[in-house]
Amino acid sequence: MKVPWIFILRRTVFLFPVLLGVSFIAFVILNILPGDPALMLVGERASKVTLENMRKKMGLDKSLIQQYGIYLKKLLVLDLGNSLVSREPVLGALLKRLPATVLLASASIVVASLLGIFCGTLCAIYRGGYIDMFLTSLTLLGISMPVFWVGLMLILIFAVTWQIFPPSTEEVGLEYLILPVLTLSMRSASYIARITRTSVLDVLSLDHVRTARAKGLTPMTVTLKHVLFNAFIPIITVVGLDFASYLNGSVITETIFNWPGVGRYTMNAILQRDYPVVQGMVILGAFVFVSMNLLVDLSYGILDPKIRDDYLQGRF
Amino acid sequence: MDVVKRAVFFLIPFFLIILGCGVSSKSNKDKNIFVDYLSSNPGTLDPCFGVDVDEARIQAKIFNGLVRYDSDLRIIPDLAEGFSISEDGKTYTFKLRKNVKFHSGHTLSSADVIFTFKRLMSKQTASSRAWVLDQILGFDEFNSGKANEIVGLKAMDNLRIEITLKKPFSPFLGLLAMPACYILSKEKLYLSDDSKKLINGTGPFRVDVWNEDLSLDFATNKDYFAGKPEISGYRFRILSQTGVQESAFLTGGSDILELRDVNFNRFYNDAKYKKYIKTASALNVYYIGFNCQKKPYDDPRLRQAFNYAIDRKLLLKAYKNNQGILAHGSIPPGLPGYDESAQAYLYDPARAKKLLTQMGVSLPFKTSVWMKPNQENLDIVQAIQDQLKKVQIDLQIKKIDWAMLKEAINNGEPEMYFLAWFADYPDAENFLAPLFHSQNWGNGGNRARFKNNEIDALIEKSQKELQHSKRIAIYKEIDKKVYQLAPWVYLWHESKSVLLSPRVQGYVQTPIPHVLKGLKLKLAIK
Repeated sequence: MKVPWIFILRRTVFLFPVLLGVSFIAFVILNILPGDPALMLVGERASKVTLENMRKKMGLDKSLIQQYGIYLKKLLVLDLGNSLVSREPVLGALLKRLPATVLLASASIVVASLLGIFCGTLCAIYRGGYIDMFLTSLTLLGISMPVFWVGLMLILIFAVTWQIFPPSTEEVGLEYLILPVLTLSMRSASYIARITRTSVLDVLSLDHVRTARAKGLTPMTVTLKHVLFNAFIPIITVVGLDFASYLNGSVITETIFNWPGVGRYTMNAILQRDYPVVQGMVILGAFVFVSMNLLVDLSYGILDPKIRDDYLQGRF
Repeated sequence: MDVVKRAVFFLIPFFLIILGCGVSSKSNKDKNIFVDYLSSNPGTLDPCFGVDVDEARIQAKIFNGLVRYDSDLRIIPDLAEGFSISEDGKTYTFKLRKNVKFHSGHTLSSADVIFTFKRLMSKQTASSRAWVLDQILGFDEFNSGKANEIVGLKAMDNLRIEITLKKPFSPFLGLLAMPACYILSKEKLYLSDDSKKLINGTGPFRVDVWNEDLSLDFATNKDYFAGKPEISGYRFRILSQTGVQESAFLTGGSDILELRDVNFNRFYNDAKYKKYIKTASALNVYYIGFNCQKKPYDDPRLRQAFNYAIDRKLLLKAYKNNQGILAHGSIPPGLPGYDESAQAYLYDPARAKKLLTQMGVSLPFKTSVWMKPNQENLDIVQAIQDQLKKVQIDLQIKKIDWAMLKEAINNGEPEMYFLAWFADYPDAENFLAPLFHSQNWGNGGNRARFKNNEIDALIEKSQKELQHSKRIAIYKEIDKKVYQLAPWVYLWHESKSVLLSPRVQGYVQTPIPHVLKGLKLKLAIK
């Protein structure tokens, strides 16, 4: 298969203005907020001289534009500054926590996709039947329940009452992963199921499916090969966007289950007014989202030959 | 239905695996390790940069100071075997214990003390706690980088240190007991060369493993000069949310739970838990401050009227489960200087109204109180708003972000504001000088912009007074006089309660967290 390099290159180039815009917005918003980061570091009882020295050291005595210039210069060498609380480099702190988030996000998206696609396909195949009605109601429930509530209920039932699972993470491991994955994947699975149902129903009515059935293929082969494959584009869009948002740290789920990922770290940074960390997370988040969108767009090319041709011939 | 059958066969083992993983869940109940928790990852273990209560709790396990507070808040020698104070109250001499070992195996000497104090005071360190030692002669020159040595800090020999102050300052020993003054090793600041997390100290526990965002594990220091701890380890889990903390406690994941307004009654009213609750004063004062420089708030009668118009007893019961004591001064119970017999403003709306009428303010009197958007405190202030309506005071509530609120109060903008003050060090001076001395307006702590020459003179007198009983008498006098002038609506001193696991023995709840070294903790193991 040919790789649409021009498409990839063009989209990668577009990444820079997006990141520049995001960095500017994040910088301005966090800098116009009240509160003096230098004062946070030296403490309220520090002398004026100490405070001024710290302000100079942090470059806070310069104009906002100059400060942004310095910030951008540092950003080019991947220096996101230091945390005000732990004083460690922000990029290192975020990267350290990223594996835990990637694990949770990947596990959740796998569970959500498997469950969602499976239930959605079942609903489409048995359209109007009891299975369809039952699963459609279940997905409606899944979409309607807020994530924090689902998390708390799972803790109450499985951790506190039955004591099957631990309520909060002590180390990154399977036993601690299950409840957060269930919490995070429930809503996603419901969305995916609904999208799959609609998308599969559209494909089921197409001529090629009838032909496949007429050829005497088993229902499983027809469903997997001729229906699902063709119904994947809307599904992959939802899966991609959900995965990107999980990778940015599922703030609520990670906090409720004490999961040591970037989401909980960002939450604590917000509460502790650790501005460089929040700023860094906004930029990392934008990067993850834009990259994920690119991957989703590329996957369209793999799934649909017409789109692939468009990419290869520069029609995008 | 072929597809459905296949799916069921696929899903059954999936759920069995999930259940299997869950049942193997670990429990701390069978280990001789005390499991405590922190609400966030400690920013640092370095005493120079510690700012919050949690960091102080941790540092108390790793380090020792020259002196420390015991559980009755008396100052006792710690790394110092003893100390003497010169007659003029300016020179302090400390003699160190012999053969005290750091966790790295190095022996403590006066060079470590000098290194620690110089590090804390230096311009390069830029510690937010440098002020703790600002009474030492030569601090200003050294801290501003103009001098390389501190005139008032000398090592007399390998085990003796002499500290000279700018002027007599009686709370100085209390300041030396603060975590910022914990002694570090000059030879080996960190236990490991590649990690700045494993810091070296002399305390009963040494840092073993720090899994950021998850837990901080301590092993016992077998060579601790005051004897080995009873438990074999101390673990701080990082549990950032009240619900997470509670569920961890209920499932045996921690041995202690700090009770809050929202869950206190639930545990207190349950016989299964009530006997395991420990409560102690928490050295704080909650208040609504006035800007005493703004008209008409510069008139004490108006401020007194507010004190009479608010039924604090009812509020404490309704919103704080009676977990505290009504304030009749700024000094909290538990500190020498607290006067149990002091006269308080009792709820008397008629008297409040009379004072307002005497002053000639036009009623209804419109005012506003600024506060953080914290729901617990908002409920209280809304109740106060209702109570004030009875004396025709129309109180507007202005909710504002903490950073903005602090800036506004320090600039003297709000006429009234809801705040609390917590002890930096357990000396009543810390509840008087920062809060009411006119030199400390704004950031310094005197946010009421209170100015009274007599009070200023009395505070300065108390700081110079070396005789304990005389100093306490002056503290009481200051507290009483300020209270009469009512720069605040004095609300209450909150106490703090913890719930312990039944296996915990020897835990003492203390007003300041860094008193607890964890030496006497025992765990009943099944």
